[in-house]
Amino acid sequence: MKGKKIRNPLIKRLPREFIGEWKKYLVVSVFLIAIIGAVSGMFVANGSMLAEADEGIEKYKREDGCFVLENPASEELIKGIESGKEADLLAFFEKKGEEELNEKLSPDMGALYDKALEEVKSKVEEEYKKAEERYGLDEFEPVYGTRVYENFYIDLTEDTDRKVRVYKVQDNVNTASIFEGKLPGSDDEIAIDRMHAENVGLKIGDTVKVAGKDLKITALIALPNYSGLYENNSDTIFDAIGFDVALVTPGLFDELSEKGDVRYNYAWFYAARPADDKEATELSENYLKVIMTQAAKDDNEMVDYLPAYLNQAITFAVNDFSKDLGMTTVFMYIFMAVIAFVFAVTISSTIASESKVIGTLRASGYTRGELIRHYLLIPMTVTLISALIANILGYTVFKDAVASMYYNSYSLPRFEVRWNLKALYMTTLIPLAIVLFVNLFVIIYKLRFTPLEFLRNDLKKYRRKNAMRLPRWSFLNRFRLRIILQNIPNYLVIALGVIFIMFLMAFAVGAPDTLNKIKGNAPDMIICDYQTVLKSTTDEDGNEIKTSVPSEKFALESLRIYNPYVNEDVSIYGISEDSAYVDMPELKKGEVMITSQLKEKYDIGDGEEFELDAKFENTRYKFKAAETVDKYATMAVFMPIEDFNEVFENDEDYFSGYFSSGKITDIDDRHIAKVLTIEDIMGLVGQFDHSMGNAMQYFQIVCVILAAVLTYLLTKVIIDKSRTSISMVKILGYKTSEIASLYIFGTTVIFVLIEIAGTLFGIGLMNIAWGAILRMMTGWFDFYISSLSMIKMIIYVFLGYLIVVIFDFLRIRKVPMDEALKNVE
Amino acid sequence: MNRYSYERKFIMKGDKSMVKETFLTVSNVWKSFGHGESRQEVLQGMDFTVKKGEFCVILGPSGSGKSTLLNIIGGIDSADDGYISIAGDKLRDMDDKALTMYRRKHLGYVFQLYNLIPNLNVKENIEVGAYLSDDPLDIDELLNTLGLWDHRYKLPNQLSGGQQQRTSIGRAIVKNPDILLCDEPTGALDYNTSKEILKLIEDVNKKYGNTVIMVTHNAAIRDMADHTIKLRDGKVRQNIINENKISATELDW
Repeated sequence: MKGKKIRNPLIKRLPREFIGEWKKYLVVSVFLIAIIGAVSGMFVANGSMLAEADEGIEKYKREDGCFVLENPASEELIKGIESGKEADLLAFFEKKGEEELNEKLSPDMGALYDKALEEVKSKVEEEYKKAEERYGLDEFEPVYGTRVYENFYIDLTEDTDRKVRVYKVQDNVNTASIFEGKLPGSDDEIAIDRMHAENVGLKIGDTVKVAGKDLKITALIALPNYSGLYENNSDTIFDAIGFDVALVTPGLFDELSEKGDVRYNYAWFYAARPADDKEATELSENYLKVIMTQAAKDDNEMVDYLPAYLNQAITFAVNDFSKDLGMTTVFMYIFMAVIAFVFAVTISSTIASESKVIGTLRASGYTRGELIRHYLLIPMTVTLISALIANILGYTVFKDAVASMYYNSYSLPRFEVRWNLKALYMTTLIPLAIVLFVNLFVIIYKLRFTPLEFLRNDLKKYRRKNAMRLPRWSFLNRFRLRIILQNIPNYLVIALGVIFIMFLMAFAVGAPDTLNKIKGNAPDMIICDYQTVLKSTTDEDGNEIKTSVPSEKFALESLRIYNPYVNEDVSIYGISEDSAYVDMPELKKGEVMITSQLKEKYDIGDGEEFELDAKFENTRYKFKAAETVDKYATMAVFMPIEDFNEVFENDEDYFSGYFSSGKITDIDDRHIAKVLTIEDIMGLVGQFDHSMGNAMQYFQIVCVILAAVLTYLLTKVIIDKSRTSISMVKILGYKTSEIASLYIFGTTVIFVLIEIAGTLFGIGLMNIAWGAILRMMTGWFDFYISSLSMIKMIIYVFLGYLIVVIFDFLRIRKVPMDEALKNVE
Repeated sequence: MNRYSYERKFIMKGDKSMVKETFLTVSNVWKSFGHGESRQEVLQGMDFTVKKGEFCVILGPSGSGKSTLLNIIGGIDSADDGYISIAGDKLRDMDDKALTMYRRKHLGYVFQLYNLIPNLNVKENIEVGAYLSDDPLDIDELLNTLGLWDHRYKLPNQLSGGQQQRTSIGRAIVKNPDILLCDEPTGALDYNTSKEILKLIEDVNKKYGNTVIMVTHNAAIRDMADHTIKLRDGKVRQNIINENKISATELDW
């Protein structure tokens, strides 16, 4: 009687393999689920938050940009700016010149007057030509349909040591997303940023002192133009602890304007939102000319200009989502590659141990393809099931963890979960593809032998005729060396994994080290304790603003260096002769001294020329980097003040402010633009610490567990492969401890060597990655890891390994003595 | 050659008395291993034929080349010179894929070591063979024939050596192959179990009409064969047709 065609029975091995090796597959699955789940959660949360941020642009009327004027704008100026056209400055200044001339000469004077008028016009035209060239006014496209709204603010102190930027409650532009409470309705109330409140422990109903006045907090909010709390756009990182944004009633705003300078800030909307950064760049370049010329025509001056696409407070959070997602995804793929190799090593070992069965199957007519598919089934099934579970958890559990991480750093509006198809394929199909690729390659390689070679267990193409001769060590050491030599592929995968883990560990341990180093050296990293920048160096009467505090004049200009990722400002300092604060070397004309940060970040070689651009002008400056200064934690260029004034076409006695060791108290706050102190550096360090501090400790633990899992899986392969030999030496009378010393000791020595090499490799890789990451941000500081931390890395990961040793010992103890006898049949 | 073209040449199996034409031809087959001084001529111009449905024993001492010959017949090794032809098709003309299909559709292999899959039970190990056939034997019936019905859900490590070998024979026979190649199938078994296994192979040969080629060093086994090829030093020393064969149960050694 004939039977029916049946399904491939080899598939039945799958559940039995899972049951028989449940511990191994559980460990692998848990890790796959944790890693893929976290990334899936990140895709979901980031995707949802990005969508929310995108919708929030309309919902919360986020500005397309803002500019600051020296004086409040007249209605006419606003209309002029909203017209989107350049003001006819030539006609304006000609008319103005004529008016001034008329005050001195009468048109009745005939030829004399005409000649003077001609001269004025020619002078104006000449000046205009220069300005036209400098600002590129002749290359212009009108920007029609824009709307401009007042969005004034005042920078004040909050309680004693923090800064708060206060805006009026209004509903035209940058309206608040309210997390809790309601916007202030009376002059003793305030709404403050939700995240800042959490960071400093403030809540609704608390009282906060703003510029000395007690105000009750009525709402916790997020402003669309401050998703990252950047005080200045040139800051390396936002400062959600030391800096706050707030809304108050117009009445209170007027009252507070007595206590601080009002910044005449205006926000604008384009007729249609630019589709991308390219369009935004074109629009903003044209709009800049509109504002500059219209302001000049109105006897006003534009002092700051910041289109939204360049505003870190607006873009940083969103860019950070994408960067984090990109980096985490890359980490996941590296991790997947490591897991794929773990599978590959396990399968290689299985193929070797099933050599005769494979030979029989091939001799019976099973094709190589059928066996390849069979051995691929386990890694693919484990990965697929893990990825699916991970995705379910990503949508439910992990996304909340990720979101809370971002809510801890950024002021974001609330978000709703949105389905994300990209998450599904990035976290399912690509991990599967990685596992498939690695394992397919390895399995095809391992199954390349003929059926006869499998039957004879002859799986080495270049088998040595005799065993390798070993040094004249003791028998036990030679035994250990043989075990090591037999397991080189396993050790290679352990090495690959350990390098990856040490790379992560270098970040987990090195990032806090780097911050601590900055904290420790901060006092030496500033030029002086107080850098007072003046708004103007003369007072209303034209007298130079002086101080009695021992100090030194300096000049300062902010230029921009080309960076494809961010707008990086570089401070150009003009230093007085024989400066007590900056040790200037002998420099020739055109030569400057640059900070090592500028040098390293932009690869400026000694004696090399580099270019910097004026921020709002069509002017480019060339400098020659003759010397480097190490200590200052800033992107800066130093030159003698005389050269500075020549380069920037200033008067000979021009300066911007004072360097001093003591606080300057005898200059009226009205004249001071800003005072840079050590707090400005420490604030940034504090924010880094706050954003990363705790996470780094968890990260260290994750690395240790990862190391333990990896070594667990691979040492299991080594011991499983040697079960017959272990059983045999047990029969011979060896004790478990002796056998363990044979099988575990060698691996331990190799592991320690791998660890040391992995630490060096990992740190080297982290240095490269660190540079790549910081090049995408503003500012620069070197990655630093102390020797103690390196030892800590090695010890932590070794502790993970020691746990595995216990499992290995138990595994060796469990090998029965009849294992050897059974396998002889 | 078309990898399936030889298939049509295999005629219906069934009552072995039906046809007795030459089925397997071994013609001037040479095989050596190693190079230079270590070169060893394992097969030295071997010639013989086997008829369809015959129980053929290849007998010889260790190193006589019998296993090498069996491997070449089975298409898992190749001759240096000469050829093997089965139903008129020469194996040397087949590429790797065609050889795999040849083994898949027409050969059953039984080894001295049973090479069962450790995490599949008896029935599933037999299914491993059945899967390769478009027209396999009924597995339950075969389990009864093999005396394994009561053990069908046991894993290989729960079986005796004889039961494991029965399972491996089941795996080979379930696809109802034209040729059953047995390489020292009793080499690892005790006397009684060996006789049981030989009886089983004899029964299979009778019942399903497969051509059986068995390699052994046990001279007693030739008494149950239709045809014995005796090898020594890589050459056919005797080629005997046994007119008075006896049953496996009557063997003694």
